This record gives sequence, C-alpha cells and structure tokens, in this order.
Amino acid sequence: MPACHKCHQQVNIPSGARKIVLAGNPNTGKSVFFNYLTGMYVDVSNYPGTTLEIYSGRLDSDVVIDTPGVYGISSFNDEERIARDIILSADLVLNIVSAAHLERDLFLTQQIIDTGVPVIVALNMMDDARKSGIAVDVARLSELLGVPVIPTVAVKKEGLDRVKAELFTARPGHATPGLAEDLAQLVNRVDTLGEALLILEGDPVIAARHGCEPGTRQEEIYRRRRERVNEIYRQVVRETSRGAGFGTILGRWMLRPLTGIPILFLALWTMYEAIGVFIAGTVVGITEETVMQGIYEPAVRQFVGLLIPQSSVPGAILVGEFGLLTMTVTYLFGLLMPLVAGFYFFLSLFEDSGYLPRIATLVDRLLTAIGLNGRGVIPLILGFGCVTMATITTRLLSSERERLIAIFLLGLTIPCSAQLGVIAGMLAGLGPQYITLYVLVIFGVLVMAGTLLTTLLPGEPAHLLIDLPPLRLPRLDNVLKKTATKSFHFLREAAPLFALGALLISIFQVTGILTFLQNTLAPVTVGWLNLPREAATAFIMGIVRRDFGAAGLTALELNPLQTVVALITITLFVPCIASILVIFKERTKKEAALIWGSSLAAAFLIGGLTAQLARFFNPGGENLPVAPVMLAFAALTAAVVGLCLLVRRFRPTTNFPG
Amino acid sequence: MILDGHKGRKRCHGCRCSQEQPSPGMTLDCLKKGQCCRIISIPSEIVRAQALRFGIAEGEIVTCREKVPAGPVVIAKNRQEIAVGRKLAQQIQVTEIPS
Repeated sequence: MPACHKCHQQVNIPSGARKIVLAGNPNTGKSVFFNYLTGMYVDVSNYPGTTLEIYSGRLDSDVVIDTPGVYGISSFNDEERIARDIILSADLVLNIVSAAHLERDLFLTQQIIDTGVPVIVALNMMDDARKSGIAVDVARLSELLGVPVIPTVAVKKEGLDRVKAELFTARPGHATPGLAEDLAQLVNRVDTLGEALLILEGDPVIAARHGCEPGTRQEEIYRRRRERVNEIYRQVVRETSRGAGFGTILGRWMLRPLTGIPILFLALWTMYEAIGVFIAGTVVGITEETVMQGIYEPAVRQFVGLLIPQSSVPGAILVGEFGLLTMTVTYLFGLLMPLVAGFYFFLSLFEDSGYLPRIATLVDRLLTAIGLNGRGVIPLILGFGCVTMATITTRLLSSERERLIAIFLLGLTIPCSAQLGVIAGMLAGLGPQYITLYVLVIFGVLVMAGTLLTTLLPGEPAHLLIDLPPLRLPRLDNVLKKTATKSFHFLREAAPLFALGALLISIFQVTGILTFLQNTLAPVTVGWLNLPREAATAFIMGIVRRDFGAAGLTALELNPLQTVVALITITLFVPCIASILVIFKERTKKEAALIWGSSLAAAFLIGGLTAQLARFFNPGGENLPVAPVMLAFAALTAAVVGLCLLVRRFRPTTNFPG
Repeated sequence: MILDGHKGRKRCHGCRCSQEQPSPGMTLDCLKKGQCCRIISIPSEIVRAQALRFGIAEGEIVTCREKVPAGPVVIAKNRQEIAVGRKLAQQIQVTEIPS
C-alpha cells in the first residue's frame, strides 16, 4: 500500500505550502531556531498513538515542523520513528549541528543527506567550539557535504537572519559513496529515495508500508557513513588547543564517586535550601499569606457577597472553605506556583549544563540494583519537576521492562515539584531528624519496590551506553525562558483539575457527604494512621492531585509525628489524574490500574506502619522516637532486598558470557 | 546495603586478562585510566549501530578517560565521550595499544 505513508501526517499543511523540517541531535539548540522562524504562534499536536508533542508553526506561507532530538533516524525508539516520518515527508530540512560536537552530529546530517531531501546546515554553537579550541573550516564542510552551511550562535541570535534568508538555497547533498547504486534497484519500487534508503537499512516499519522485506545492510551502510563522516571531520576540524578547561576537570570530578557524590549532594542541598527553605518559607509567606489570604481573598469574598449571600450553596462553592475563587486560586498562585517555578529553574540548569548524563553514569551501578540502568535516573529526577512529564520521558529508556519499572517508581515514590515544595516547607519546621526519617522511608520504599519489580519481571537491566556532552555554563536567559514555559504548562494543566477537585469537595461539604466520608474513613485515618479525621479531606483532594492533597494538609493542626506520617502517606499516594491518564495511554489498562491500586495500598501500608512503629516504641507519647523507627525501616528494606537477592540466585537467569 | 556493592569489586571481575587460558584478548573493562585500545568486537547489532552513531566503531582507537568503581567505563575518541555500562564493557573485545 504505497499510499499509506500519507496517513502519518498529523500536522495540517495548507496546499502549496512547503514543509520545512528542523532536525538535529539532542541539545543542539533547535528550539531557538524554531522560535526565531515561527514567532509566537505555535501549534502543538500529539503524534498519533503517542503522547509526544510535535511543534509546528508558520513562516510566511510555509510550515515549519520541529522534530525530537535524535542521533539518527530508524526505529530504535518512538522519537526516532517520529523524526524519521517527518523528515521523510519534508520539502527541505534545516539540520542544526553543534560545531563542538561535529563528529557525533554529522552522522545524522549524512543520513539525512542520504535520503535525498534538500538540506541546509546551521553550524551552531560556534562560540562553544572556539572556546574549547576547535576551528571549523565552514567552506570546506559545505563543499564536502554538498549543501549550504551557515555558522551560527543561536542563543546570541548570530547568523539566524542569514539562515532565514538562505533557507531555500537548501539542496540535495553528496550521498555516502556507493549508496546510489544500491538504491537504484529499490527506488522504482517505492516513492522516494528516503524510503528506499530506510528499507535498505532494515527499517521494518517503512518496509512493511511498501510490502518489502526489510534489508539486512544497516551495519554496512552505517559503517560506510561513519567512515565518510570521520574523513570529513579530519578535513574540516583543526584543534587549536588541547588544554583541559575547568569545565573538563569539573566534568571528571562529577564522575568519580569520591568527588561526584559530594557534588551531587551539594546540588541537592542547594536546591533544598533555595526551594524548601527560601521559597517555601519566605516567598510563599508573602504570596500566600500576605497577598492571597490578606488582600485577594477578602476582596473576592466581599465582591461575591454583593451578588449572592456567602452562606448560600453557590456562595459556599465559590468563596467557602474550599471555594473555587478562594482556596483554588490561593493554592495555585500563592502556594504552588512559586515552588514549581523554583524547581523548574533548577531542572533547567541541570539539563542545560550537561550534568544529567554525568549523574546517570555515576549512579549506573546503584540503579542496576533496582532494575534500571543509569539512564533511568533522568526520568526519576525529572519526576521531581512533574511526574506526568517524566512518565513521557521514560521513552528514552531502551526496554519495555525498564519503562514499566521507571513509571511505577515515578507514580509511587517521586513527589512532584508542587508537592515536594509543600512537603519541604512542612518538614523544615520540624528539624533534621524528621527530614531524615521522611527521606529514609521514601527512599526505602523506592529501593524495595524497585528490587521487587526487577526480581519479579523477566529479563535483565539493559546496558548503559550514553553520550557525555561537554559540560557548559547554562545561559541564564535560556534557563529562565524554559522555567517560564514549563511553569505556564503547569498552570494550564493543574488549574482545571484543581477547580474540579475544589468543586467536588465543596459539593461533598454542602451535602454532608464529606462528614460521612470522614467518619467512614476514620478507622484508617484515626485508628491506623493516628491522624485527625479531617485528614480524610486531604486524601480525597490527593486523588485529584497529590500536591493539592499536600496543600490540604497545611490547613490541619498536626504534631510532628502526625506531620511525618501524613506526608509519607500523601507522597506514596496515587499519581495525580493527569499522570494516571498518561500512564493509561503509555501502558496497558491492566498495568495502569495495578499501578494506581498498589500506590494506594502502599501509601496506607507504609504510612500506617510508621505510625504504629512510633506508637510501639513510645506508647502514648506525642514525639516520634526517630532512631528506632528508622532502624526498623532499614531492617525491613534490608530484609526485602535480601529475600529478592536470594530468589534471584536460585532462579535460572539469561546470564552474560564471562 | 546497596553501597556494599562497591566493596570487593575493585578487581576487574569477569575480565579475561587475569585468567590462565589463552584468551581471545582483553575486554574494555580491563583498561586502566589513560590507556588506549583498539576495539575488536562489540556484541549486539543494536549496540554496534548505536556506537557507530557516536563514532565508536570496531577497529577504532579509543582512550579510557574514567572508570567509575564497579560502574561504567568512560571512553573517548577525539572530543566524543561515551559512558559504557560495566557489563557491556565486559563483552567488548579490545587490544591494548601501548602509549
């Protein structure tokens, strides 16, 4: 069915418009080019059957489409499949290449050129290349590739105007030697050279679309392409200096456990001080109490009071205890927004500096114990920003087994930024021993859940093979822009859910269902968790979003023990509605339901266990005997891990040779 | 309890170079920091294709830049650095090149 590839176009293309496709390796600055070319009006569409977002926009009468950053196009993962389909349907490709990383990036460039599409290359990050002692002969590079090459420094807007002006000088370049003869036999059976190439390279999807057998020559073609790229690299790159700059030295330190672990802790501690102490304390004190509760809420109450009595049912729903215009707005803008922005600021710093793959390398050994490889740390860290987003990024993991483990751990143990901000703020007031207990319990659950999963699921953790980009100082304007974009996405996603949750709780309150639920859940909240019965409200709110639930806890009078128990329970609680919807999309219904149910069970089990242990070690006392509870938890974790190791030892495994 | 994994693994376990048998050569995890080697063979097809994209092919000469204890081996060619998980490194055949 040769016509079938047309159905993979998901972006609306007006007739006569040309499709300009941006392509490049990860972190080459594609988004800056995209924003420059398309301006403010950007369409976001989901690729069919996936949750990956594709950005498209207009340049005069033509359409510009962004693609996910990839190292090559084939069927290794979803991102490559999408990039492949969009590139194959392009009228011209603007390939963004990092001048500091030519040896790696030119492989994709050459592969795109081999598909026969007209290409123009933006040689980006020229300043980084110069700084690290690399000189590139741009004219020679253009001559060897056979396509125009324009040097740029996108973040400083250098060369962008030239790229825009010369976009349509893009032309088909020089293919890998020998390829033309190989493709000649195939090309009359399919529509384009690009499809013929991918079939020859053994791409099963493209081959199936044309009813052909996938070729078996991927490795041979890759090898020839690599040789050609190496030759081009030799001819155009001159090293002007080879001294190890501070970035290189720091990059090494980050990999060595002796220095890397303290650096990691320093980074996390800085984050905690900035978000947990400064933002959650000082900033939220101003935004929530002074601004929202001090000025905004009385004003809105007064205004609504002019129209309808506050004690009426609509009045209670709008401006009551859980009011749509009072509590929802205060939590969203006064409490959560500053915390979320703080987190995204740090995550953007981590992303832009090249620190994340180094953390992945440092912790690889530890993560294999919970069934992931080092790469798995990236979604787990991003989960501290937003679990929903992180669930989507698990696509970068190489096997289904790892994706399932990562998604489960994200849903169960990783608190998202908004929630963590509230938690950090509440814990900071209690003292270091309670913080340690909280961290230990959550970490223990992560270890236990991961070890259990990797023992129960068939297979072995996939191997780590990860690119370590040069460490660089992030640009503040870029980091701030990312922070603003992501914070805005948070608002857009969270606001309707918050409103829904508040509406639900208000209706429960005015109808008396809330008291009924509080009484029904009392054996769990009061008997098992030792919390006041009003805590049930927070858990009901937590079903909508865990951060909403955590925010609900701030309104309760709790002693230190109760605070820690409540926070542990709400952290392990079910993933928010947005996350669980994404999990349903990404996994099977059965797995998603299992993740939801077991999170609920684990939350009450572990939270209650902490409360009961405390009661056991210190009957009647209000204060938590921290040390024995911690010891008991460490022992439990050790027991579970030990049991799993024992099971694995006696299970036949598909072991490696040697 | 996981940190204990570091203990007793300083020696290059799974490394053929310490064995008596006439080995087919050494593996990537046997390299010391700063040593150079030529890559002889990479196990799976997918790993080979991914390594080729990063510029590391069979026959290339690479340098060992860093070894995380019991963890990944960081190798470099020109400016390109990649981290290779320890178990994978144990399956990559290399020959040492005296520097």
